[in-house]
Amino acid sequence: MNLMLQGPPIRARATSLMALLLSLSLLAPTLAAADAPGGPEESEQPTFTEALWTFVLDAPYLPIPWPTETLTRNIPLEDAFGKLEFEVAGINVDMTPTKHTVFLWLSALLCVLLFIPARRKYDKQGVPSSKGANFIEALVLFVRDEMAIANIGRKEGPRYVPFLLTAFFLILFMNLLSLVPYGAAATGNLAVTGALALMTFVMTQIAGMRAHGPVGYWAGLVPSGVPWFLYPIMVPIEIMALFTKPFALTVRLFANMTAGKVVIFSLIGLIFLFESVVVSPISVAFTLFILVLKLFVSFLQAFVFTMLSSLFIGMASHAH
Amino acid sequence: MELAFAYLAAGFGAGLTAIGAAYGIGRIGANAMDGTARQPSSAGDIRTSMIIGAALIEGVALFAVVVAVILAVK
Repeated sequence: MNLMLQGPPIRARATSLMALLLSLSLLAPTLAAADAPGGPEESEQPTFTEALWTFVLDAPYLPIPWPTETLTRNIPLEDAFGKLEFEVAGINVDMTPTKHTVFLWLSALLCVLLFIPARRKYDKQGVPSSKGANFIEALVLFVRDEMAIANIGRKEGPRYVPFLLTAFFLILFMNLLSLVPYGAAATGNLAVTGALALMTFVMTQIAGMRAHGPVGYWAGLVPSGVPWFLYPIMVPIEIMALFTKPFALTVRLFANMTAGKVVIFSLIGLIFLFESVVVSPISVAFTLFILVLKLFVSFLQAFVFTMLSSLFIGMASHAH
Repeated sequence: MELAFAYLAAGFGAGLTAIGAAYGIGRIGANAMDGTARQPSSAGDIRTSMIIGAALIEGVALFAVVVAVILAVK
């Protein structure tokens, strides 16, 4: 059952100047999403669920600010990068960049641009010299002391700090970019979070094999002291537990970032459901609250992902 | 008819999951506050353990959400 977006076009609704001004920045990506599917050949308005999916899911175009009636122009990424589609062993692989890919690159670029000069300056001066540098140092020290050293150990911990820092800041920047107007959360994509969790999985296995040796690690999967007749049960369970950890990491990050978008879309959508401007101040106020909550969740989820990664690495590298 | 039951199951599943996760996270939060009030000096450690515990409960709840989504989308 789809709730239809009925009535006159969206731009005619915002008669109250105040509400228009307030909701403009928040509405722009939503309007773009409502405008997106199909293009010119599909002239009728999308249903509520269709608009929701185009708002939440990945897209083959990049919306940028543009002075049209929807304040948006969708640039097809296929034109900019070409269609990268090829076949590997009979499976069609489409590597054409999408909206989320672009934001993933953008956050990676932000990491590089922020941390390589910061490192160089830190090497030269030895102390953080500005407010920004102090903030970064606090975060880096937090990852090193509270996550790596606390969970993995004083000797082995610093070895995994580069991985944990990369994961933390990449996820943090991807999350924060979703709060920028016209932005999108690359972490709201199962492929991105799955790849990140795969990295944690590989690091966990490497840490375990480093600490116990390749044979000792796999032999030590089942805790010692388990009676032999429980092995048929314990071995599958332990192997399943290996894979459920990265799966939970994947789904947690994805679900947290997507849920926020769905809530924001629903709150803005209330205006169009009730078809009155009276609802818009309430909607916008609640959306603002949710956006502040998302700001907190962005940091929290980056923290949780990194914390659990270090916890898993610590569990794998410590003796059973 | 079968599809309608799948939607019903998905809705019930999501709701029951929310109840379970809320109970678990509520207990963690309450006990963490209790612990912090008794021993304010270890507030940092308690907060870290609380977030890890809540994240693990959230993970279990998300498994149920995935099952519910599969039911609803099927």
